[in-house]
Amino acid sequence: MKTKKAKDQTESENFETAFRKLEEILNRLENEIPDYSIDKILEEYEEGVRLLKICRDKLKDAELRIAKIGAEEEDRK
Amino acid sequence: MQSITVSELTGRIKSVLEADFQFVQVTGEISNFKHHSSGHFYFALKDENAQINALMWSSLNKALSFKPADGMKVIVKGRVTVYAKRGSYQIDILDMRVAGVGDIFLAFEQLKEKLRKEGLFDKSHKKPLPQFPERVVIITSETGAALQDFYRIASRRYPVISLMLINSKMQGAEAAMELISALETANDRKYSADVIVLARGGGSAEDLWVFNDESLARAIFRSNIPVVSAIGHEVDFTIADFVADVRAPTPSAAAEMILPDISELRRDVDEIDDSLTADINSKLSRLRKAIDSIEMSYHFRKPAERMKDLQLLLKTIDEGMRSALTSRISLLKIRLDNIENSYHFKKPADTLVNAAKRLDEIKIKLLQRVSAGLKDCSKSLDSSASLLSSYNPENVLKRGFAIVSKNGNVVQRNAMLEKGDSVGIRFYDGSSNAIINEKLKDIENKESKRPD
Repeated sequence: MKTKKAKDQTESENFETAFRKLEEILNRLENEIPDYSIDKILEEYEEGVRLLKICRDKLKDAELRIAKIGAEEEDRK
Repeated sequence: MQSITVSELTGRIKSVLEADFQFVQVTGEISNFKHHSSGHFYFALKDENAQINALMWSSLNKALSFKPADGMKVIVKGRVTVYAKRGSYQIDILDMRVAGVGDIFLAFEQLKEKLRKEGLFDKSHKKPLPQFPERVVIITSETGAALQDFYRIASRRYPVISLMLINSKMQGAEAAMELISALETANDRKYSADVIVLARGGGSAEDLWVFNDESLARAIFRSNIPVVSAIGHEVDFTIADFVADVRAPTPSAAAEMILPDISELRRDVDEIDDSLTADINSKLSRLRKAIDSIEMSYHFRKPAERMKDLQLLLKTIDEGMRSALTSRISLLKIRLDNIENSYHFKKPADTLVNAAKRLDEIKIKLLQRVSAGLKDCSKSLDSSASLLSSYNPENVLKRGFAIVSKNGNVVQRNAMLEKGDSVGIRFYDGSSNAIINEKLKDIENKESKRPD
């Protein structure tokens, strides 16, 4: 159940969202979260690691493909 | 001289003028131009010294590729007509074109001005490009160089996009219609495109003319998705360029403008990763320092029991943090470590150890008891055995007693015997028979010996 939820989240998050969330986490860690909030820090770190993975996955090597759309849809190249 | 009526004179003038000037071609400047609500054009054509009224019926002026305006120099073709009611004459225009500059250029300028006034080029309507596009639609000819140029740059910069192609004619009579329909397709929600590129390589002014089409301009303006125009070369500007959200000088430049550089982004992500680690590290080292100073403080030293707990807890946190930072692979594992190491989870383990110890003790006691019980048993068995053996008739016989039997039954009492009974006497070492020759007196109430 938990795994499925995590998977859905990953799929719905695009690079932009993940990237922005990472920047927000950095900002919170640097400016908002006090040192003694161990749980919160761990939570943010865990989320950060997850988002980093999403970003890296989205940037992994790929070959650009062209899909023809409109009246005559078909795959090309 | 006979006078004639005004109508007669006007009629004669009309027939003379209209006969003589059935077809004229006149060059002049438009002045006092009126586009009547009926659709007809009314204006004056003039030069430095003269002017003549002119009109062009709406049925004819609709075909014009430009809109006349005051000051415009035009060449008109038409005929002279007389309007009897006013006593005026004018040119009834059949066709008109711009003198001097080309019609096409003028039409371009006029459409540009019209659309600008309508606000189609306003900055406030320009949609920003997505920072990290994911789904890009390129509208171009699938055989054109524009597609190849765009593809080359895109696959170098950001090959992770989903690139969708809508093939369209990019010049000629049908191009505008095809482009408008392509823009509508690209806006279809099912493709969830986040940017549209209109791409065409360079060409002559006529080749690029379709991009000055008013309907196309409006279709670009209608698009809900940002449109990037990448038409011709740097020097070519079309109406489409003005109305597009972003104008790129060439298809290659469009790819550069739209797409981020993947290698830069990878570096950015690495930097974020480093910052995250550094942030956590500094936070935790500050925390450790703070904890150390608390540890050293007098108040925490006094209640020894609490101190012990705290130390254990701190140690656990410290260890947990250390492993969290060194191992990024699996935070879950780290948490598990934490749980395993944590004070509260150790407690049940201690209890278990104690329980096991107690069990061992109970086991030993039990064993001791059982073996003691067994010893008692064997002792009593021994005494029973010796008692049993003392009851053995053989042993009794050995001591000098004998067993008297009559008819196979043991004679236990004198009363059982009569004079003349034949009896057997069994001794320890053998038997003999005897006859009772005299019976003496029984002793009354004497209890019989209990048989064992």
